[in-house]
Amino acid sequence: MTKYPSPDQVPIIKLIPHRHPMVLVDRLIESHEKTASSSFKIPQKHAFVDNSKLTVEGAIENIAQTAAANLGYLYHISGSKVPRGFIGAVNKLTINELPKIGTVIQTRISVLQEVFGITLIEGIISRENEICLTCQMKIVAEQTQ
Amino acid sequence: MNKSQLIETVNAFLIDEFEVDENEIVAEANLQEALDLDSLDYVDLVVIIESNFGFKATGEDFQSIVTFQDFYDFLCEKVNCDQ
Repeated sequence: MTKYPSPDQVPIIKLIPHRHPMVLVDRLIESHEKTASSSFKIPQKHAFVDNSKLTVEGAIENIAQTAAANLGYLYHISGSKVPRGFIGAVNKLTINELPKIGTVIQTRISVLQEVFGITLIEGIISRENEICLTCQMKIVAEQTQ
Repeated sequence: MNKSQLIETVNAFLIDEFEVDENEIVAEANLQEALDLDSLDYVDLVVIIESNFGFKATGEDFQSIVTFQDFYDFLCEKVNCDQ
């Protein structure tokens, strides 16, 4: 029986199609069919850092990449080709605070619904158990032949 | 639940979720046009239907829904509301 590495042992760039400097997840911590979590330390210099804080766009991308990494891991262990996903829409965005550089954020995603080839997820970014930002996101997966 | 209650519930969540003016919700009006629904919005509609009425609508279900009245009739049939 093949023993697969736990998600946090797989280099993140093996799970997502993004490459530096567009990578906004350091590690996938947990991976399940409907939920996942990741961590990311806000770097000092990054395209998505402004005024010493992660931008809203960066936070949204972090949530999307967490969802992508989870799919990447699930497909990886099943030996299937990972479909590319695209952000279709973001709504119900609530921002309590934008994390500062040097902060390690935890991002949790939950799949709320999958319908018409579109996956609706909820994303929550927190630091030290304080919620920084939440939103819902619709992700459209590329159709594979 | 009777049909008037169902319509009241449906209109309330449509106004809340799709920010549509109450006056635009007319039984004979085209649902997609009045709510300005695109394909992504139908996901929201499925989620709202499931949370309010406890079942998951499919793509096929929406093919026969054109007007608000069609939508009310479809939901009423699904939940066996009193006519």
